[in-house]
Amino acid sequence: MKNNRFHGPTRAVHQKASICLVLALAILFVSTKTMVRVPDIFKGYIIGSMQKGFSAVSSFFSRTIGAVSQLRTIQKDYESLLSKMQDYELRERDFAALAEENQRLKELLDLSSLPDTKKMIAHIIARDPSNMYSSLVIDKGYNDGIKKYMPVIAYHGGVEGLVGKIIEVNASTSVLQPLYDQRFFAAARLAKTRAEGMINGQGFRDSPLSLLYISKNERDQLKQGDIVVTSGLDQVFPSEIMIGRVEGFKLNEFSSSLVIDVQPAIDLSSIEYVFVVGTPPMISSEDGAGK
Amino acid sequence: MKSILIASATAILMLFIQSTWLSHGIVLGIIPDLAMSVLLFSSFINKNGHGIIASFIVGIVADMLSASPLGHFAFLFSSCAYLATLLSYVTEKDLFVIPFLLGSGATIVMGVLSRMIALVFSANIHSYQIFSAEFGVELVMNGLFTGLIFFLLSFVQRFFEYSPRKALP
Repeated sequence: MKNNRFHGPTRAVHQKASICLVLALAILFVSTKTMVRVPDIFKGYIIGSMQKGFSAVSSFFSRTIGAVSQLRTIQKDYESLLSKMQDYELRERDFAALAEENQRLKELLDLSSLPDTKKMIAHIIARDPSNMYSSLVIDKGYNDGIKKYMPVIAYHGGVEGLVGKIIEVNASTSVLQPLYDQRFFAAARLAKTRAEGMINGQGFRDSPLSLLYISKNERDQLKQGDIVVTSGLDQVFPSEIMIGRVEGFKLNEFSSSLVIDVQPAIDLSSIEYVFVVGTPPMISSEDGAGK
Repeated sequence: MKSILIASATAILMLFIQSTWLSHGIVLGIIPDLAMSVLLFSSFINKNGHGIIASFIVGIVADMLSASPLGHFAFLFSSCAYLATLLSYVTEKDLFVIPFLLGSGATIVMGVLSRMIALVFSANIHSYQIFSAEFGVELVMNGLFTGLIFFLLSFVQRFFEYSPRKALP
């Protein structure tokens, strides 16, 4: 006889769901207390290798297609460059003399923005698969000397700017928290007035950053385009790294401080390479593992 | 078991695609949650709860790929899969409307649950900014991509379906 009764979910379905949810919550509870750590061999090598593999495949295709289209232009460029070469040979002599003089003057004035630091170049190979988190994955890990909380900078359009900091180090890859992350905080100051505050991300790459805790008294001196730099007070980021420029500010009536919108100096949607900055104590420390 | 493995493998592949090839996003830098769409498909067609188990496994892998603490996405994916399985008892799969509602609905569920988890657990947990334009874009995008994934996977549905061993006569 055919059974026409409505069949709801069986008890087994509820049991499976309950087990999975309880297990997930238990893992979450333990992991947020940092009591559990995924085996390094899995995170460091297997996942890192897979991400590198995917990145390599996409790079191969984009580079191959790019190379073919560039071949034609290279021929033309080559001919024009030959003619320019003679001209540059003459200028080179003058340039060498100027470079030497420039280096000498730099040393005298101590103009380097990040003195006594070592910068390690790294390639961004992956980003967070979800929109909730905004981490980036770079192809350098503790095997390369990367350590947790190392600052990361980049050069874009001739500007050196802050990108974020390392939050997780695996064997061959590291996870970096970009400055637009909603949990990113860094001690910052206005370069012109030296007023100190704290920079915080909004969670989205295209949204401006927020510079918090700047006194209301600063509003008369504040102008669009003012430079915001790191203050170094958090002892994570070296001072005077450019963060961005002031875009505008909000004045809440009952608050004693301004909320300043800051446009990041580095466009994080287009960068492929970053520099991990090792400050002297981190570089010279003996332990290799960064976790 | 086979259906769990196939659904998990496909969703994990989607996670890697999301974190590499689609890492720059499609609209406003928003990445479609293809892995979740695959898991919703698996949960919807497997009324025995195999999709929930696959979601838990994929969630753990997502936690490893992401900066999230272990268990975060496992909980969010399992919850969405559970709701999709329950929904499969009261409605039938169609070409577009149900998949779109499932994808968008799962995004809302993840948004709300992530808020609740962020309140309960430590400060390292992120949550969706539910009232932002980006969340709206993600909502629509996940709905559309879930429709597409449901359509594509319907051609290979038999691999994702649980097929119990037939008893010998």
